[in-house]
Amino acid sequence: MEITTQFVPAEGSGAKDVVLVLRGRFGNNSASEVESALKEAMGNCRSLTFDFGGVDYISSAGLRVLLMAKKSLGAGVEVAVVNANEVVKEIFDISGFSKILQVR
Amino acid sequence: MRTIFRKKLLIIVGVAAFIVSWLSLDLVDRNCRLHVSKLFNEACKDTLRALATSDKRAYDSRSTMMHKVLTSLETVTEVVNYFPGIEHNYLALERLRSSLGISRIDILDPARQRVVLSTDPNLQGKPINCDLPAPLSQNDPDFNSFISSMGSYHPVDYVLDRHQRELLLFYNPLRQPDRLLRLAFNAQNFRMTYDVATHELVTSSLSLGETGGVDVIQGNGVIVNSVDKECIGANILEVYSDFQNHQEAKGLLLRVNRRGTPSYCSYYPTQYGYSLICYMSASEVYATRRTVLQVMLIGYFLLFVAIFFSTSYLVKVVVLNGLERINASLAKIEAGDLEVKVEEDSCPEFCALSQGINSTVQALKSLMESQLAHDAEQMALARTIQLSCLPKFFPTYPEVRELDLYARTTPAQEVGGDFYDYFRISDNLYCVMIADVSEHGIPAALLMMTAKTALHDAVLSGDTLEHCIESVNSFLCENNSTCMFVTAFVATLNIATGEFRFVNAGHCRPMLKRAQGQWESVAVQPGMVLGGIDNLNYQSEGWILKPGDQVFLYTDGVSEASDPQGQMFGVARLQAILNRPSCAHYDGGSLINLVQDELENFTQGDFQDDVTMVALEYFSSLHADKFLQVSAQPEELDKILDFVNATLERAQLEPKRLQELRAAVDTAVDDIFTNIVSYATTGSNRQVQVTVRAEISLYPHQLILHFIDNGHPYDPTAATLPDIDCPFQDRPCGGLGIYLVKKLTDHMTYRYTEGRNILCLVKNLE
Repeated sequence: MEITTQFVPAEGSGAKDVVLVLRGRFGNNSASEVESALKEAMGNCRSLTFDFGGVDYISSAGLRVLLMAKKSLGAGVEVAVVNANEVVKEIFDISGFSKILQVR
Repeated sequence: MRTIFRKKLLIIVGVAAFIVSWLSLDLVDRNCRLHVSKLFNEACKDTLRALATSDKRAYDSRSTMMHKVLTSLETVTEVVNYFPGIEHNYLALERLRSSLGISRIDILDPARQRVVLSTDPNLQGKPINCDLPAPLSQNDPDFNSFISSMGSYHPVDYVLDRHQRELLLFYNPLRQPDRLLRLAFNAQNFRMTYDVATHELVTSSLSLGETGGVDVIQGNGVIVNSVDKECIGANILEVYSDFQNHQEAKGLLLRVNRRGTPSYCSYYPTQYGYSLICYMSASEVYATRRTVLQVMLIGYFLLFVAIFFSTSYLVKVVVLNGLERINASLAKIEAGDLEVKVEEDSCPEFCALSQGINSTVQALKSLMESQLAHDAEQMALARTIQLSCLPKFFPTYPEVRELDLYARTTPAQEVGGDFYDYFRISDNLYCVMIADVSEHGIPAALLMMTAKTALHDAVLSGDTLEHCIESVNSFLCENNSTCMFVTAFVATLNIATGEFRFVNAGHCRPMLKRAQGQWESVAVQPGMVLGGIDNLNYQSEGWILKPGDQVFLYTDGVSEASDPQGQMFGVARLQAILNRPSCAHYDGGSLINLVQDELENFTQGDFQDDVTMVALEYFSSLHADKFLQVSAQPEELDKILDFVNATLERAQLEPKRLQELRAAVDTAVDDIFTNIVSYATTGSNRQVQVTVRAEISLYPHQLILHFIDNGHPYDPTAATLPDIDCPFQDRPCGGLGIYLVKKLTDHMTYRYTEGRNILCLVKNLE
């Protein structure tokens, strides 16, 4: 799985907006990669956005990573998913994650 | 019922009319007698009053006459005493007579017994008694006694003079010793006065109605006065026969015979020395009865006719019509329509009856429904048991690459007599059979279980196929009192050599399709049905199947299915369907599904017989493009995903649909494989192998995935589902995998057989 992390510094606060651009299968085998990439990127994070434009599918392991990120950032930090395909959006719906994450 | 009711009503009304008439008649009679009795009482009182009045008048008139007689006697005596010379003066005497209104004045010389002077000149010098004595009236005792009573004051004679006049002669002595004065009064005048004063008055009041009257009776029992003149002077007993019996019954109404006429009378004694009898003829007493009876009987007749018809009509309207309506409803209920409600509410009794019937029917209905429900439950249970003894997962041995087998049975009723079976005999040898028990329903189902068990056991014994069939035939012939039998096609397939050996025991011909060929119905050696005749020999025959060959077996429920017009489905139609170009690449399951749908269209869902089909496909061991074998390692996931995606791509789908399906299927495969890796290998050091079988089924268009592993038994379909609605802080970081698989696929089944977990996922492609 290809993971690209982009940082956009937020003005004046020293915090940053983090964007993770993912490509490939977000399944069991790639969950740990994303998890470790997240750990590096999440310090002093004002918002977290996953770009799912290149994601083929997301399995329950992938969902687990998103849930852990949301839990560790807390309710004050927005976690968003953008550019997800229809099936992935459906998975967010049927798993209840669309209530937790901002799926756009 | 109406006739019986009318008859009985007629009898009752008739009897009532008779009794009422009889009582009324009696009442009228009593009334008549009472009326007469009152009339008699009144008549008696009137008569007593009249008698009292006449008595008084008689007394008064007697006194008046006595006074006149005495006054006249005294006057004439005075005149003659003062003027003795008058005895020579006729004129003076005559003047005196006429002035006093006396009939005659005689001056007599008693010594010489001569008349000295008389106002009747002819009596001059005649003897004193020259008048003839007159007889006293026999019919007038009162007058007689009156005459007699006059003599108590003065000597009196009652005579007839020479003019035949009745005279009363009164005598009085004069002062001259040789002279006697005699005055004569006209007796007729006396009598008239007396009669007017007494008898007529009484007689007029003695009449009662037409035939009745009052008899006045003296103490000696002689009738002295009556309207009926003929009775006067007669004895009471002569007039009233049988009267003496009732003489004491004062005032009572008595039934007597009066001078031969049936009459009623009452006897009243009085204190005046005489008695009264009031009488009236019975015919007059009852004169009103006839009229009253006529009116009454006509009235009663009309009344009772009205009662009869009105009662009859009311009973019809109120009772019989209601009963008829209830009976009509009951007839419907009796005919089996328990939905019918008896709604007869014309009166409370019928309401109660209707409610009673309705609640009874309701109770019966609910009893029947509960019984039916119980029966249905039992039948459903029987169906479950029967179906559970048939292989129900297809392909039954998904990891066997050489042989795929599909089967399907549809009982015409809850349970059926058709069955199929498929099982492994040894490593390379499999048994396939299809059979049909004659009849269907419960009896067939019972024999089916026996036959299936017997065939299964016989084939597993390892004996030759024909011997197996012979022994099962003998077994089924024992005690087969119902003469039911089984047709069967029993085959074995050696997957290594492709040898397909079979015995056909009276069953439908098999259909065979060689690879690249067409379906054909193959004539095979016909054998006798099982359970028909004991000790038969059966022969087996065989084919050698090549990779890609298919066999289709069916029961006569398929070939003999009929449409609503009675046309049979037939083997030719079956063959034509199987040979459709679109079906060229159908697997066995798709063929069976297609034929089943065609059958349902043909029969419009009305299966008269059990329908069972078995489809078998033989592959070579080289035919491996739908199998992938990996070890249960996470890094093998990508291989599986690539394999499954390659299979999906062969389904010739639109790119967009393909992409969607890939995302869903890949998610499911990822999670399933992750599960197998994590759970199936828990705590075990052995190498767990996972066989993935992926294929596209064409009818219906589906992706079918099998995951077969030899890890620990683990049933993912039994996993508890996560709560997807809880807040993210509380959500556990697992448990979503199986949930996603269930949501993203259309069907998921799991079984554990022969040491392997077999999980099947089905995803519809359309």
